[in-house]
Amino acid sequence: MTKDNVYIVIAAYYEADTITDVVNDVDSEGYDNIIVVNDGSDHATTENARQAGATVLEHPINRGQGAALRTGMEYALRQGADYIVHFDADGQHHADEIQDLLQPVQTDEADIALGKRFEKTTDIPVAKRVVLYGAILFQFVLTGMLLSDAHNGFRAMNREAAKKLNIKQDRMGHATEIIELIKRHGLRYKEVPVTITYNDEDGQSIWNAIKIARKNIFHKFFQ
Amino acid sequence: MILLSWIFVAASILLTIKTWNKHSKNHLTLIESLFWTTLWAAIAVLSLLPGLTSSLSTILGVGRAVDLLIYTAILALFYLVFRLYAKIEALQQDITSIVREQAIRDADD
Repeated sequence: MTKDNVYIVIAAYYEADTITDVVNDVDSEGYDNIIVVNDGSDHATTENARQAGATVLEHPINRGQGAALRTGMEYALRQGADYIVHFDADGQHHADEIQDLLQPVQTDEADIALGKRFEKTTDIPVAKRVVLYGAILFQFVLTGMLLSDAHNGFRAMNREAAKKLNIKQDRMGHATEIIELIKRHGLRYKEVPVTITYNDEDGQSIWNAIKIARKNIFHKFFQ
Repeated sequence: MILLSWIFVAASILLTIKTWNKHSKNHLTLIESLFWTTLWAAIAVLSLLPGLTSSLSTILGVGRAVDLLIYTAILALFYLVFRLYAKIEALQQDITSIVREQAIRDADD
């Protein structure tokens, strides 16, 4: 399958230390259309991403990961992308697994492929597991969709799915919003095992998880 | 009438003037101005006719008139906070839209 019509969207916020390796890794897998969205962070993130060969879009002020992903998706759609992949800027995702996610989408088995971490990732911190299980449960209560993972930023989708995933939640609540949109639009989805590499600074704290839950509830019932 | 009633009436008149002053500067729409004027007028009327709140509280089954006022005020405040929250969220989305278009336009240049 050609990779010319695949766009990799990477939302970045102060990732100058990792973005070069991330872009190089993605590029080494044969993906030339790499869009990095610098979400109002330092110029070094932009410079490093550009030097590694990515097309960089810059938010003049920070809007959140959800907003940055939507900006990248919007740009990719305007460039004629047939497939869009969400990929993290912090080195947690593995570029050699992009094709695993794309496979069910490119063979029209699904409109969107969602990464799931628990099968292939073995060293998940206990606190992180607790937060994730809570997020999976919350996601199910809010959307009715019981998935194997939550807030896994590794996704691949076709053009039609990308158009329908009109993310309105700018910050981390977008992850649950995406699941809601999949259900609302009746998109075919498939979960694909992926590996998440945790670093020392990883994580969504329990407090952050509570804030995200509050925003998702408001968004669902009052907008 | 007690002194507090006069204070409430004076405050209501001043706030009504302020409301229509803001309307004249297009800071408030006509509907919003009428809403606030109605609220200030209600405060003035209730402070001039305290028996009215007692009657209302009896009809609604609330013990004291002041309790009715407090419950109503709390409900109104919650509603206003909700409206403000929704407006802020809408503004955030507008800001994001502008930021997005600028980022895409700059990338195309």
